[in-house]
Amino acid sequence: MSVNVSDLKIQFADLKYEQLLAEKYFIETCFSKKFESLTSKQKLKNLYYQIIKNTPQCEGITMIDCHLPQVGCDANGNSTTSTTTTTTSI
Amino acid sequence: MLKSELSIEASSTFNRKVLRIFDTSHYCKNEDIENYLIEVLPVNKTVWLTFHVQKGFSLVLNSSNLGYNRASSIGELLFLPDGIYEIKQSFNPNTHTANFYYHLRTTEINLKISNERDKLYSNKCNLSNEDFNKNMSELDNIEGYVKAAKFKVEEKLEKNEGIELYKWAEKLLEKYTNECQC
Repeated sequence: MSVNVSDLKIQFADLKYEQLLAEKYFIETCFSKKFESLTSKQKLKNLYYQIIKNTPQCEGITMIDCHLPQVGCDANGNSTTSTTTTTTSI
Repeated sequence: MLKSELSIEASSTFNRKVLRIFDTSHYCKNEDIENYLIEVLPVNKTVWLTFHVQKGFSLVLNSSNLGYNRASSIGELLFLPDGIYEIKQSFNPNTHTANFYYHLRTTEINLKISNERDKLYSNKCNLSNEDFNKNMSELDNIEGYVKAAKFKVEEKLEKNEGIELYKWAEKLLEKYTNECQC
């Protein structure tokens, strides 16, 4: 199953923001003293590890090569005409 | 109608004087790319600046071309401030193809964190294991806040929460540098 790095980053940021709420405003979150456990901190570490692991190591314009062909273009970047065939089962 | 897919990235750097933006777009071969523009709204500025670019561009921004000062040599360039740079990427017809991005520059704070790590390592022999690990863990925590700030702004487009995370990281770093025994 492919991992969406953007989703992981958002999860990481949201969880870290919960930590801020607990530390700065003393709002009860999964990071609050009452619930403090390794779980939330461990989850942050795990998410960060996954972000690093799944981020393509591309530099400069070579990054273009990391993108899969988009809808409307073939693998060489030539335009393709999209045709839709609908099959109806009876 | 076929469309090229526009995208850019800003390179992460410890160079305080430049911000490099480069092209990561996917182009359809038979689509004409004309009047290709990168527009930038720098931190603490109210006027958008326009740069003409071409496919595969690598645009280096500095204090001079971003309008912070007039510099005729590298030595005269100012450090670019951390904060949110708003960026627009488009080609003709520009209003229909425009893509918007937020880039949260974190070079300044990353440098400070990196300096504190260096200090901690060079003072390792004078610290107990416990103190060393505690300080290292605190720096990891602060760095996590900076990364989260970046993700909030760039991936989720939540500027206020991102800036709040960034400022909290700054505050923690200030506290750390006062309390750290290194």
